[in-house]
Amino acid sequence: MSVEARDPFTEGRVRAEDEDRFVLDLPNYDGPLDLLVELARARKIDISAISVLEIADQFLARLRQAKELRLELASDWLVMAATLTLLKSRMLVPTPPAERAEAEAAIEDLALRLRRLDAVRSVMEEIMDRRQLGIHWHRPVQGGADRGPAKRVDATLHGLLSEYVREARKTLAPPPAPVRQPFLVLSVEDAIRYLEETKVLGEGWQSLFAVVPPGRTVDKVHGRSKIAATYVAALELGKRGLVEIEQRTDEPLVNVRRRIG
Amino acid sequence: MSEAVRLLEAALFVAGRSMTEEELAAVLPPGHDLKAELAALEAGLSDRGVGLVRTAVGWALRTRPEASDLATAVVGESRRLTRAAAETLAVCACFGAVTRSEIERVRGVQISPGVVDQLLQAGFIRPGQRRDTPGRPLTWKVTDTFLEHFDLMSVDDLVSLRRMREAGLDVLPPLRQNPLLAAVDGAPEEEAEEAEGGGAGGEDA
Repeated sequence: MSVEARDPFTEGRVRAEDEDRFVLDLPNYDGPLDLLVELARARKIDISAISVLEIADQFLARLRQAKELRLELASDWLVMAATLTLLKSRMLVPTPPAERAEAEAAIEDLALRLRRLDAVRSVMEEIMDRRQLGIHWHRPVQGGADRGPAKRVDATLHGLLSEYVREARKTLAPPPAPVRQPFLVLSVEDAIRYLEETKVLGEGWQSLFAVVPPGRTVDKVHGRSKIAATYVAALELGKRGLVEIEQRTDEPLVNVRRRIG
Repeated sequence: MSEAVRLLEAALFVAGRSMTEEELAAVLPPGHDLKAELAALEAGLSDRGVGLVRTAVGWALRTRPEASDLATAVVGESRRLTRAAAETLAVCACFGAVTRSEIERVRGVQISPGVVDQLLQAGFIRPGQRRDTPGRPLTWKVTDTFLEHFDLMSVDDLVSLRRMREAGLDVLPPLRQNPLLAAVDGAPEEEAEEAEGGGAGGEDA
């Protein structure tokens, strides 16, 4: 290809289109696969004359040739080819009579349902076209008895029950479960990492409280968790032989120091 | 206008609703023929804006349809039913007592709970007997209020319903079996398309 023939605007588009299409070259059909499927579906082309084997061969050839295969495209082609095969096999093999009868029965049933629904709709239209009370004519408005001291309330059992249910849904509903915020705590792992990685533990004895990780304490639980986690971390490090812990009988505090040697 | 006729008119006016012939007979002083007095009342009201009409329940006073536009302007037009509610109501009218799932089967769509509530609130349907099938579902029937509202003596007055019965379409559709649908799906293309068209027709408007 000469340099002049390269049009940077159309070239990309043409190539993209080519990649999106799977163009067939058959003895009696020359064009993209999707068009062939559409034509076959609409019975505008005689699929008995189309060789599915040839399509499969060309499909495989195309797969081999494509450098970067786009999977979704290949799967589209596969579905198209499968549809074509289905159409063709349906044409070649006569439908078994049992299946055919079943299908016809289903269609019969559907047609009956639609006729019935149409009939119901015409009844609906007739009803709605009739003279309606309160729209086309009126009755005397009930006076006297429903206003003033003699006011009377009419209720049906069903009305009372459904009103009760509606009210009960509001008043008898259990209170919503309280939403607990998750506690913010210092984990033992973090405390171990802190004691290990920082130089806070010296060779001299110091109180456990002195080696609690600094930083803002959010609430009481957070503060306590810091102390507890640090204590557990010190015990864990002690178990590993990295830290020594002591508690004197005369004072309640726990002291820690790095193990020497 | 005789005393008896005046009594009847007053009773019907105060009642507001339809009164049965027994109720009306109780209003009349003894020794009067109800039929004759009603005929006299009807004749007396013949050139008035309000007339005497026969309803599904008995007798009632109604404004004359040709004189009702002004009356409507006074009281305001009442709300009309939605299409879904009207169709549900028509199903109840066509099949007598139907359960909710039967209504859905006929209409081919699911009913939202508001539809039945709306009809119930209007007093157009009422709960009937429970069906003797699993779950003992409640059936719904149209009421006298429905008949009165649409100026019907009975549902048999509906011409389209009579036609539907003649065509033998007044039986409930059987439960749809899943294998049947599967058969439609596996049917040759052209028939399957018909089935698709049918499905679209059954959608709720």
